[in-house]
Amino acid sequence: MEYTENRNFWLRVMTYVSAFLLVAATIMSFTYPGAERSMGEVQRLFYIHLGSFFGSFLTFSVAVVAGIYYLRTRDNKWDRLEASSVEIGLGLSAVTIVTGAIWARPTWGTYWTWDPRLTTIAIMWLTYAAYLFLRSAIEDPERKRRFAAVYAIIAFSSVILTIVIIRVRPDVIHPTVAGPSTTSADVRGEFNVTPRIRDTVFFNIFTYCVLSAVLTWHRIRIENKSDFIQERKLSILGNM
Amino acid sequence: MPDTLDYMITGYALGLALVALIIFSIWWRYRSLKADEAALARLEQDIRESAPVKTAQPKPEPASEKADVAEAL
Amino acid sequence: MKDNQRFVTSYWRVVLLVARKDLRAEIRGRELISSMFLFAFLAVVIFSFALELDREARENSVAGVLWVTIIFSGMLGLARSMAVEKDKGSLDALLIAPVHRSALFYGKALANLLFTLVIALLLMVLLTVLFNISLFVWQVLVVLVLGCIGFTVSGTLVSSMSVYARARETLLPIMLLPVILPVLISAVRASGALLAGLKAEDWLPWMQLLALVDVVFLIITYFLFDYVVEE
Repeated sequence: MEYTENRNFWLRVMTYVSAFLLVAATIMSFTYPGAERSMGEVQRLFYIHLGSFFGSFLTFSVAVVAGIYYLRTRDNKWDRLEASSVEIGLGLSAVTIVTGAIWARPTWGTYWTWDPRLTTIAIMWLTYAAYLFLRSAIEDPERKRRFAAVYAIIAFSSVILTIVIIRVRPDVIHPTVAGPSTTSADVRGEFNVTPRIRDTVFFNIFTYCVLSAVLTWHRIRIENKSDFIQERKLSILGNM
Repeated sequence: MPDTLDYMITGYALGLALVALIIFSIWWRYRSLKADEAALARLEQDIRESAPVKTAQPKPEPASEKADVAEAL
Repeated sequence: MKDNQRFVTSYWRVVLLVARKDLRAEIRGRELISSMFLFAFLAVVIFSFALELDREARENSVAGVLWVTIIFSGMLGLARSMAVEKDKGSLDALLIAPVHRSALFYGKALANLLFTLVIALLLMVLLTVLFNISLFVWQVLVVLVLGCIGFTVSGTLVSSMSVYARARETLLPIMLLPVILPVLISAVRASGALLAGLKAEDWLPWMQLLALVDVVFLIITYFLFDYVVEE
């Protein structure tokens, strides 16, 4: 499938918008809120950490919906959406894990602990890595799409687990920004959320959601183009 | 206030580097697909030009030519 | 009403039929259980060498050793039973039966559950002897059953996908382990706390989580198995 001029135009506009947003959000995280008192400058990592997590959460949610739609309609476009969003989500959750680990070093004194939240996000990442492995291991294309959709639906349980565990386990040391939690604030490295911090957090979340959508769109375009090229190759071979 | 500036810089550098890596991989794949497409267009052009010649000369070793094209792809 | 009732009975009959088919083949051949048990035995011996366990370390690690061994040897069994099914095509005849596909799935899962439970019980005897720690507490047996249900239900679904892959021996653990980690973690924590003789508030939440994960897996697989065995 060849992209129309109109579609390419909108993709370009969205790309510029998301690039602008990313730069603006990064500058905002450095300048707008003041440094935090008990943690110092490292607290600013929190903005990219939470932003990229919500970005990957968005893509994984899109993937599970696309998987369900694929199984119902058997339209290949849903499969392309599913595979593309998983790939982008995997990249963004790697950002979440890396920034979290570096934030944890001065705050908790170690890069990694087997805290339930950290464990579940590691499980989540591994599950989606296995998803990509599954796609590459099955040859029959129709079966590959079907199995991938099934596995994308199962894999989403790890995302739900990641979000739920922080609110139900009493031994979680990960900070909760919004909503209830069962541990006391001082062991977790929590901080006072001033209006400036809150605005920056929301702006970053918004930015990374837009960014993940645009990246997924680009990724789908690659998939479409490679399908299109494959078809043309086959038609040349068929004509000879 | 503890001095944790180094950690913040490392964190942002690594995080943004990962984002850049995603963008780069998408760009790279798109570029190589474009190169593929260009090669394919040239090939289609060639075939269209040579098609009348081919019908004039009956079967100039079709098997080996097919293999050549397959290799070029 | 009558039609409905007939559907119900035939549904459960298919479940039992599939399970009985597997069990009968196993009783005749005995190759699945014996290879799983040998593997489990070896794993326990290797664990006790590799970890150089003294009395206290054994008490701390016995739950982990138990579950990791159950899951690895269970995976061996899953891969084997699904590969046989695919190569012989013995499910194909049942696929045209006028009954919901999930009946086949639950039958297969039931057979796998029985095999895994047999291995788990043998392993508990083995660990009780070799580690000199009595594992037979009734709550641990409950955890054992719950954990095996979670493992076999998700494992049967995943292995029925992975048998179609090019590298099916490597794909199964890669796909299955992250999915069953919630089962593994909660089962290890629950049985560890039980064996250490801790209070109910230390193991009950884990047991509840385990039961929740089981229910979720049972529901998800009911809807998804249809799509796996479509053709």
